Amino acid sequence: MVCIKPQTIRDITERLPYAPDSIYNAIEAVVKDGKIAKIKTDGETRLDITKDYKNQKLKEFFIKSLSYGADPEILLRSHTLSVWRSLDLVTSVRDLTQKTKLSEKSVRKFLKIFSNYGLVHFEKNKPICASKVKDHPLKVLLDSIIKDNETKERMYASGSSPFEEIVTTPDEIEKILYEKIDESLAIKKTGFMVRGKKGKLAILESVATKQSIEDFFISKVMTPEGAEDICIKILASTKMNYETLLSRAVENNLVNQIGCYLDIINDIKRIIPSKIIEKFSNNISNKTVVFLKDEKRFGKSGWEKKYEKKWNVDLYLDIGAIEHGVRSI
Amino acid sequence: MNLQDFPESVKNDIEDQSLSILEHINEDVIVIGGWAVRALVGEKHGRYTLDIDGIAAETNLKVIKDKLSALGMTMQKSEWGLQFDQRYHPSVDVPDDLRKELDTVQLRIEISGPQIQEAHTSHYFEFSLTEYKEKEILYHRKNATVLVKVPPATHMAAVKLGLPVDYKNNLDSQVLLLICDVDNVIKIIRTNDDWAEMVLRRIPKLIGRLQQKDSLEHILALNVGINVKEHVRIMKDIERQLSERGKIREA
Repeated sequence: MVCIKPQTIRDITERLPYAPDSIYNAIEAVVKDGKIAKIKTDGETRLDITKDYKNQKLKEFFIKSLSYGADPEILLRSHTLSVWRSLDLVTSVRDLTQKTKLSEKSVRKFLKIFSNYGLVHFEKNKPICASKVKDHPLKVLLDSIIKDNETKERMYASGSSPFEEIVTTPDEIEKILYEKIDESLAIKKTGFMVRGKKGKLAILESVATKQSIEDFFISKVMTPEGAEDICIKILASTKMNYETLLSRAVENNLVNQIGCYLDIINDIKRIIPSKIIEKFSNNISNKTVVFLKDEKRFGKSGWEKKYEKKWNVDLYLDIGAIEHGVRSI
Repeated sequence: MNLQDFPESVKNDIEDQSLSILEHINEDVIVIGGWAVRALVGEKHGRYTLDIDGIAAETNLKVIKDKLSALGMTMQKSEWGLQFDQRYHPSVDVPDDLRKELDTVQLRIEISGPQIQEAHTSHYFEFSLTEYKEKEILYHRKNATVLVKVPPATHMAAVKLGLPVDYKNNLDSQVLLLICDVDNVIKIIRTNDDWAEMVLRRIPKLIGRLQQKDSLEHILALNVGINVKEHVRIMKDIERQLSERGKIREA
């Protein structure tokens, strides 16, 4: 009831078909757990779902489950979730039994429940081979509930920056929005920005899949702040796998730009092995490409020719800004 | 992927150790760069650079060298002047996964003469060694301050407007202009070699990036409470006044 609309305790006891004592005890338990909060409005105390990410997700899940004719209480039991979590890794009953350490009978029972709710389909019946139904609305919500707190890939920068940059998947962004809504927040490409009284500005960028350091580098080097600051810090951190970077650059048709960038940085300060730059050089494409389209309107400064010729690029980087970035590492 | 500062306790320890080194030479140098901007505008600035940049009279260099060498700092000549380094040794608990990264952190002080030469050009900005403000910088982890000499805000704004347009210089110039008399900034630019040429070269990009709604500069400006429209108007005014003066000179 409370998931759908905040309720007074009196309404709940009147409308739910349970003994008042049981209801009072249940309310005390969920309030103590922090799942539900007592909120006073217009002189009345109402119960509402706590406004944090996890409980808001649960609220959404309860409503959606009921709409799809699924019992949320069964789906949220720890053993049900354990089978659901393991379905990302294995599909057969035998493997699921091993993974979850549940009996084969229980695994079959849970698969049957998922199947009845349309959450899994059986690719094979003998032996059973089950997989999640990818586009079921409850699937996304269940996945977000089981998601552990993954260790985020992070990189530390020396000095203090006036912002923290987080490039991550939509569900992580959603979680951060809940956690940091009282702090300063901006989401790139949306115009959304709020200022908070405490904490540093977090600039969030939504990407479809989790980013490796090489993916992050590739996306950032195509922006002024990336080329002039962030990518230099990444290079200085020595966390980069240059072979992966090269293959990502080939996949994204960015060999000319990234090879050129590494070459420029190395001419200022030798922090990249020369043989890496050679490898990029062996993969240059014949098509001339613009490097830093955003800055084209500001024109060139006269130092670019050497690199433009070598890397087949139309170059608009700010060398002074890059040198400033390199000096700070 | 998350690019972030070191944990607060480590970051504060690094800054305190840098400040502690600065305390030994605060009489001999005028601090410029990120630390000076922070001292002038306060918390609004929101960033320290790891390095401390300073300027000093030629006659002070020997004293500075002696003092910093006595602290165990190594010295090397840099493009700009003298660079003093010392490995950072944490005096706070450090998480295990951070140890390797902290091993590479160097506390760094770079001292040059008062003339800041702009790379790839013949232009320079010359700071005054007699005109400065004294500002207190607070330690994080102890109840004490260090009194540092910094250039007046107008001088810092003038120099920042002619430096390369990255988000750091851009943010610095924005927050400095908020506390400056813009006419005085223009006057300072004009009295410095032909620094006006550098400023005129940078301003279109400075304005362009600031106006671009999705740019980092735009987001940072809004975050520190800058009225972007008004700020652009001020920049255009600076550009107009400097160009007119240039045209008169040419005529």
